[in-house]
Amino acid sequence: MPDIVTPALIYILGALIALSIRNHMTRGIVLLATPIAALATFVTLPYANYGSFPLFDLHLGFLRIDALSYVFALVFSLAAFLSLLYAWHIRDRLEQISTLLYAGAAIGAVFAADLVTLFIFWEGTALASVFLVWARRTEGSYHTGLRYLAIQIGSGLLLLAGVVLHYQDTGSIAFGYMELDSLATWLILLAFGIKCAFPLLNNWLQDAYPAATLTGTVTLSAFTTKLAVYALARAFAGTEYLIYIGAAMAVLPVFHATIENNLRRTLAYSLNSQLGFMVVGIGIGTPLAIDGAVAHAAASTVYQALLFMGVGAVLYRTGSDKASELGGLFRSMPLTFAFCVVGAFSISSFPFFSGFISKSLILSASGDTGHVLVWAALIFASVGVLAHTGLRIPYVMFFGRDRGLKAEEAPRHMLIAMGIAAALCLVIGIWPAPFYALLPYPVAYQPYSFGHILTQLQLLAFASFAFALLVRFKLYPADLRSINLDVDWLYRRFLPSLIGLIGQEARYAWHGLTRAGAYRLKRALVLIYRMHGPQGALARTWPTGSMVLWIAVLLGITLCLAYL
Amino acid sequence: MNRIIYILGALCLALAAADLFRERHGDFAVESAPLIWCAFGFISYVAIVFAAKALRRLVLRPEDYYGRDSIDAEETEARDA
Repeated sequence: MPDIVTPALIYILGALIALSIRNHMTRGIVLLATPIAALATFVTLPYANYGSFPLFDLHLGFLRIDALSYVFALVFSLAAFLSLLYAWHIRDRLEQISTLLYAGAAIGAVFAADLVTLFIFWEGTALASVFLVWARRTEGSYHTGLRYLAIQIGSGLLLLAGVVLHYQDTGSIAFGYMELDSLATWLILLAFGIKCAFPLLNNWLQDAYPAATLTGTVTLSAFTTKLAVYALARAFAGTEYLIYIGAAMAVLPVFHATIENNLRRTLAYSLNSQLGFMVVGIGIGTPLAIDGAVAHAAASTVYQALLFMGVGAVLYRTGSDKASELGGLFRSMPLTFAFCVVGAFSISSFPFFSGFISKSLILSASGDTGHVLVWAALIFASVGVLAHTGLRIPYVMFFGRDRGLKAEEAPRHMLIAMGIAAALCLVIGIWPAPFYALLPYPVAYQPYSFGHILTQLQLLAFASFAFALLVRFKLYPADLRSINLDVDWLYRRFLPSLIGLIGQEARYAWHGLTRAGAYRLKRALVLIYRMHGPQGALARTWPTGSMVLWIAVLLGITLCLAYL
Repeated sequence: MNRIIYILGALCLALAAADLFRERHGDFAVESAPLIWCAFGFISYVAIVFAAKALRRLVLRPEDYYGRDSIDAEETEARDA
């Protein structure tokens, strides 16, 4: 294999070639070939550092292949291929090129061995991905894209500040394990946390993902957040705060997801909750937990993309991704339904689906280390995932109220992409050994025992029974045309109106002051005019006379003061 | 809908009965309590739904709340639909 510095270059090259091709078919083939070509450059290389360059007294490393970066690069290559296949019908070159550049930047960041390279690709993912939102080409998506870009670039700037301080502290820009003991490392953690959608820093995700094109959302779901998970696993494994942040992150999105009407936003919430599981794993930091976080990142990239593809296919055929407008598509889109159910079962971690064998590692690791509350929170969040995604998404699209929608089955290329993703979910779930073999540490974990399968089925069956009862007795929240406020309200409404209010008050105060000043001045002038004007009291006498009068007054006052 | 409830109910009964035969060891004592997983699944599901309904009272807004700044009230859901 020739020395290629970083596979990201292959993506950039692929994007340049695709840009110059006018024929739709040929361009599509170039697009699909790019992830495969890039994969071929690194897949057989032994674990080592390649592509190292000195820069002044720093050391840049573009291609660090080890167990951790290898898995993520593999999954990102797969996700890039699947999203491009799913988007085969797209003719918008802007969207196609930005998909390639986005995937390339994410893979470049995963292979970065130093923080400067990481920063460059980190910002690269932000810049390339915003075009997937803008490709929708509506006013709303333009504004949403701006908000998304501001937050993503902000994360990059925090990272840059952290890197500069870190270099001052340690004299090194190597990207490896960091202790949370300085401002520098806190800034870097915050940068990672924004991209990873930590609680309160998460709303860019739910804001931007439903605003992208239906194919763009599939692409977006794979890279940015998983890149952040990778970065956290690389730098902050075993950081205790992350256990609690992760647990909160797994639980909090559950409630919004349950009442959200826009199904792609529901999926963005459930993606957020899945990220929480990974962050818990990273926080625990034992080999089993890190394996769990990596396995869950890999498995969830596939099933989350599958779910976004399913909702996207329905959106493509019916023109809506809102629960309040969908229902009864079971007969007209049976294959999409089947693939959606595979995705839903995987995310709900039914035994023999991929989510089960990856989530179990994290749960087992939190059990081993005695974190009983975190463990219970994660199981609660698992029931939540079943509630808002596993049951609700297939139910509202394919069953529920039949709204007389006329739709046909999804186009063939979408079905193939969904079919590959669904097959992977099943293969990984049924036969986890080869998947486990890819993980950073050797896994001695047996997901399938009678007790484990039984308890998981009990959990899921009783929760499903509760779902059926609540739907039957009409206690389940109705699907309303609506939005739900979340933390983004603070910066979309509260802060702007607060600033507006302060500005208005300041303006009023200024007006008041100047008007009062002008009024006083006018009063003073009128008074002087009355005294000294043509008819004024003091104008009746000659000015010399008034001067004598005033001297007399002054003398009188002086006399009084002298005798006091 | 009623038929689904009966089928699910029967499944739940079968799984609850199978609880007698599982080995009782785990990281925490609570894992061994009889029918704990059944109860946890059912109760937390109901709790989530009712908590979400309560939350909705607080945060529900019309689709055009954010006006032209957001995609929620846009007619065309996706360009290529």
